[in-house]
Amino acid sequence: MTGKQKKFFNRELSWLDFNQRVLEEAKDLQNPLLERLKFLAITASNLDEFFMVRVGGLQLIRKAGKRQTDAAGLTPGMQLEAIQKRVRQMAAEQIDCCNGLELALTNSGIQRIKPDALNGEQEQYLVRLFTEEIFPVLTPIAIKAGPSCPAFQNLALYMMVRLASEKEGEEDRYAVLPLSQPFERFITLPSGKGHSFILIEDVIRKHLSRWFTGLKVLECTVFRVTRNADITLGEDEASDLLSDIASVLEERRRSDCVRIEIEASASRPAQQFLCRLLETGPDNVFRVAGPLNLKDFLPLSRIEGFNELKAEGWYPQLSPQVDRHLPMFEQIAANNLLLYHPYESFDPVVRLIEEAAEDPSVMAIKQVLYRTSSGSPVITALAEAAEAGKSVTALVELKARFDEERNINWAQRLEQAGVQVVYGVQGLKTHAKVCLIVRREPQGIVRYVHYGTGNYNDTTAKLYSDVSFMTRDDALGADASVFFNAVCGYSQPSGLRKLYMAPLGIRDRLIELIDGEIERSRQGQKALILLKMNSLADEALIGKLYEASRAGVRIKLNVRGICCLRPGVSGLSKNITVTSIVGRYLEHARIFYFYRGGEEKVFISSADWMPRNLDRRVELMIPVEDRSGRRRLIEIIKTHCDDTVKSWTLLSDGVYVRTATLPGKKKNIDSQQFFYEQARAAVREAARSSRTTLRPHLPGRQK
Amino acid sequence: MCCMVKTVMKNKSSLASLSTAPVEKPAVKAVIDIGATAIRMMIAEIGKNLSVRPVESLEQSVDLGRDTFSTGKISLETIEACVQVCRDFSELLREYQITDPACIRAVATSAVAEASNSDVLIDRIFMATSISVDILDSAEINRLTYFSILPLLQKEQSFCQGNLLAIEVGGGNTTALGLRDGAVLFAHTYRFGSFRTREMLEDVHLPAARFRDLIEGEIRSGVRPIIQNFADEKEVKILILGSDARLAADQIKPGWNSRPAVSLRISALARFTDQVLGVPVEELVREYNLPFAAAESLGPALLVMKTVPQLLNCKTVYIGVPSMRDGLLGEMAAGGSWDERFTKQIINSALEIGRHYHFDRKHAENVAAHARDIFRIMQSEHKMLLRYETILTVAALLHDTGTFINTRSHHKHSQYLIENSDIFGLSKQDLTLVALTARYHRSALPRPTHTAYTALPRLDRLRVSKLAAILRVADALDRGHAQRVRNPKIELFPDRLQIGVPGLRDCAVEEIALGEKSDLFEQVYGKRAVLVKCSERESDCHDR
Repeated sequence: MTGKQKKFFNRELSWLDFNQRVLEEAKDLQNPLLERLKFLAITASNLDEFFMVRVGGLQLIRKAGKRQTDAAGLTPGMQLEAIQKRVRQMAAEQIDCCNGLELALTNSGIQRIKPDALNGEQEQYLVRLFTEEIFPVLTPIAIKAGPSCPAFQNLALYMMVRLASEKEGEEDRYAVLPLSQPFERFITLPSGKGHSFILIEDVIRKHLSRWFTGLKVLECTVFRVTRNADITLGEDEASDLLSDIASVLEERRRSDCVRIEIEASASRPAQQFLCRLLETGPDNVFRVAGPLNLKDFLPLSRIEGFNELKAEGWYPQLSPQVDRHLPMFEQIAANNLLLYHPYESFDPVVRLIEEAAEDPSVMAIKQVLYRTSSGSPVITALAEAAEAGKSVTALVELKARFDEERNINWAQRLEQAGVQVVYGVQGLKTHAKVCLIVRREPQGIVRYVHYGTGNYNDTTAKLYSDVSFMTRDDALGADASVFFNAVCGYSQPSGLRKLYMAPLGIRDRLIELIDGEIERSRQGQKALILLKMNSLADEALIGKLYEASRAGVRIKLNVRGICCLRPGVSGLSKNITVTSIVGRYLEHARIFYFYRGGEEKVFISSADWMPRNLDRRVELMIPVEDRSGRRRLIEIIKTHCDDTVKSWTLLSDGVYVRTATLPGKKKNIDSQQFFYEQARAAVREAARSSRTTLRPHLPGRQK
Repeated sequence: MCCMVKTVMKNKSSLASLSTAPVEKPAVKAVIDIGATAIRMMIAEIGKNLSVRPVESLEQSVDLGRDTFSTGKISLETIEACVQVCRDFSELLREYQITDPACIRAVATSAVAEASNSDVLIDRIFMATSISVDILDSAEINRLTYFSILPLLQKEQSFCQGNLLAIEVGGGNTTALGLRDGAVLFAHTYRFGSFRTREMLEDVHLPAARFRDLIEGEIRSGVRPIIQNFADEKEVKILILGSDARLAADQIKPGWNSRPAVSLRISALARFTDQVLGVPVEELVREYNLPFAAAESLGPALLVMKTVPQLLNCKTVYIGVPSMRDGLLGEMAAGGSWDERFTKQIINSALEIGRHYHFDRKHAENVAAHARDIFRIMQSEHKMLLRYETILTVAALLHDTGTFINTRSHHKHSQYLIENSDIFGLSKQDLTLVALTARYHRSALPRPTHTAYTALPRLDRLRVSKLAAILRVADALDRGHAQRVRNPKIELFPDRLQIGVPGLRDCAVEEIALGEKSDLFEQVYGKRAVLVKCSERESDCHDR
């Protein structure tokens, strides 16, 4: 093991560790059954993306003959080898878990019926369904290896049928049936009690002979193809980004196959035929001893009823900081608002944009849209504002991976409404979360800004924990203008007063802040750094954290996903602890805290500490300086760092263990539960005090 | 707890401002400055008390300096790039609903002024954006520099004590403004700048060290005239303006720019200069996030900034935040520059020129005072504004400077000297009016054969006549250079301008002079100028 290997963990394996932690939640018998199913589906979905992007990318690098090592000292080939090993083990665990869950669900009334276990009524129901809805729509396609081979859709399910040749000595013939569209994967069956369902592949398998009358079906097997999605855009040559992104999407449909998942029961000839067809080797084949595409089980985890099998419903609370009867501008003018979603509702953020759209004093609205929900109220509000004659600028990041198609549609919709749409910045992805509203008030022009750590997506805002900060601070408002002028190409980015912006200044500022703690520690003062993020992979910053640790700075890292830093090593990182929370909400907030000799400095950010964020994306790091906001953020980060229930601790050998199992961890702290209860308690308290305060209706004050 | 109270109070006031009855909102105005390496725009609110609150500040890099200073014209590519920048800026102007042309001031400096095809650029910008660009002459640049530092002078009293040299090293020109005790002594614009110097030497292929010697030599000879202005002074404070200076301050003293100015040790500035000159331009671009044009001119600009103080034996310099855009906005806020404070600075500068040419200061000031009195009493006749009163005053102060060359035809020498002097705050056009007014203080009246006079537009010709007519009368009142006429009582009657001379028993000399010199006055205003003796008491004046 070289020095480099000792200092850093490989990012891909670290990501797989994260997925393993999610899988552990699926396996955890303490979790309700449907909650476990949700976690299982998430691990499958995560792995799909991992194959498309990371494995796809590494394979391309290996194909190009590049052999440079990563921070952990592994060549692309070595990384792929290690990934293969880990993923195969994980896939096996997924299936074990799935089978275990299936059994437990059956016992709880949610039953998957196998074709041979159908009762009479169910048989009849399926015959009718098949005859009327499936058979007329589905047509098998004969396939042969070669140029005429159909392009199998990425991540879609297919059934491959092996037919005996008509003449002796000839090769077997093959046909495929697409299973994904327009059918539901789960077909609900009539049942006396509970919920019974059958998988579409089982229905088709049962009636297969209807398509192949007179032919001998040797076998049928379900398979699924994963394609490389790490196709980058040659932006320098891009004349029209919109059409170029569309061509990237088209290319992705036909790109290299990086994984074939096939049922474990498939014969060797069938598997070999598929490999030949997709021009890939046996290394990329994953034989699955259970249902493929576990991601499809996600809707089942949300099935109506069965509340005893689900986690207690947590609903976003309307923060008492926000008065639903007063305009948002008035409230932000009175106090900065800092919200922690999804414990606190995202609605005030949407309301701010909606009110801006209607407010005649608003001159301009500018917003970055990276990923947003279908039917997003934010998009609607922006379109309405533009239609009402306001100056509206939307920076729609067309390069947001896997959301490109959706973003093209929004971009076009917004343009039609008169919004000035900017398709991101050349060569960089705009990942910052910011909305600026310029308003003309009696005392002059005032800027209201929302800075966030998460996307303007009202759906994911109910599942991801993120911070929203709304302010009309002059400097932060002016900085938002500098940011938008820069990303819209109106001006060079300079003159930021409080914000830090990647790729220009975040890393440097972070290094300065860490240096500050190092210096204080060397002078014998208390020095403390608390960091919460999704991923930590930047070598320079990790190096700086090691330096800080050696200087005696206490460092607590709460990193949900990838962490390439090796903690707890004497002479390197003895003072660093790394924890990771995997809970019902996806930890997504980025919060950075520096003790600074008691003058605590806290930032929120859209950026993880990864080279891609700090060098290849437009990101923001925002100081929260007002007393109450700062206190709140410190509470958030400290509570998460102290979590013992849903937290995992990274050991120096790279193994994650449940924090609760570590010696000395007595107190039970479930940070997500804490913030949920805190939000509820605040609402209750506000409701109690409102019962003792009468609020008159004042003209012009109600929204 | 204390903070809590403060916050609540602030919140109350914010809420109050949101809910109070409508008040007059501050005006939103914009200035655009087209320079050698960048086009910059500032949008600001101008409050009722003429306060200026910047709202937006934008900057886009362009290659105007490279084109103009190397080929003498602006390439089509650069023209289109400039037009695009102005288009982008006008998007933002629309956003702030700034549509009235009176609320937008766009100016260009040497890189446009010296291009043979500057009109093409200006026309293209106008066609694409309806923004009308004025090319600034050196006097206007000086004036704007003064306006830009004015708030700083008011805030930092130390700058108003002793000598202050404010320098801005531009891409094409360098502006130097000298002040003593807050009063302007001189304002000069020199035809050498960071980009011009670099372009001049670009084709000389020399090793890096030799190239640096050459560029330093150029700069030393370039800054010499600036130094000479304060050569005999023991102590001079130096205030350096401009984006290059601000970048240096950012690097040497990070986080300084919450203050309007910061002091830097010359040794630190010299070290930073060496550091910048020691690395390739590409590295500067990367390191300081600069556009190429700005990175290329950074080294020469820094050399100027460190050379001037070194030659003046200064140990520290001040770097200031203000820019020309602040000056433009300050001027827009004041509704123009011609207020009393500004004219005082013009007069200071004129006095400095007079001193340079050994003028008879008492005579000059006496004539200027008479001229100003007559100008004011004749307001209803000539209907001219404060600007022309200042032009008349400056002409009165400098009307005899020509005697420095020769007493014979000294009025013509005065005209020449004035025309070729930099008087702070006066544009080329203003200087011509001053020079001609001074020229006609004696001898021949304006004639069609006087080419300088006939070259003027009709309105300016008329102005010169009106002003010279007054100057001649005022000069007559001090014919003996003895300031015998003090506090005259001047009255305007339908047929005459009556000048009551209190306490003067024998005013024959002045009477004769007035008889000789009031011809133009009578011709222009249709009134006689008469002298009356009067006692110290006002009512006792009587016509002679």
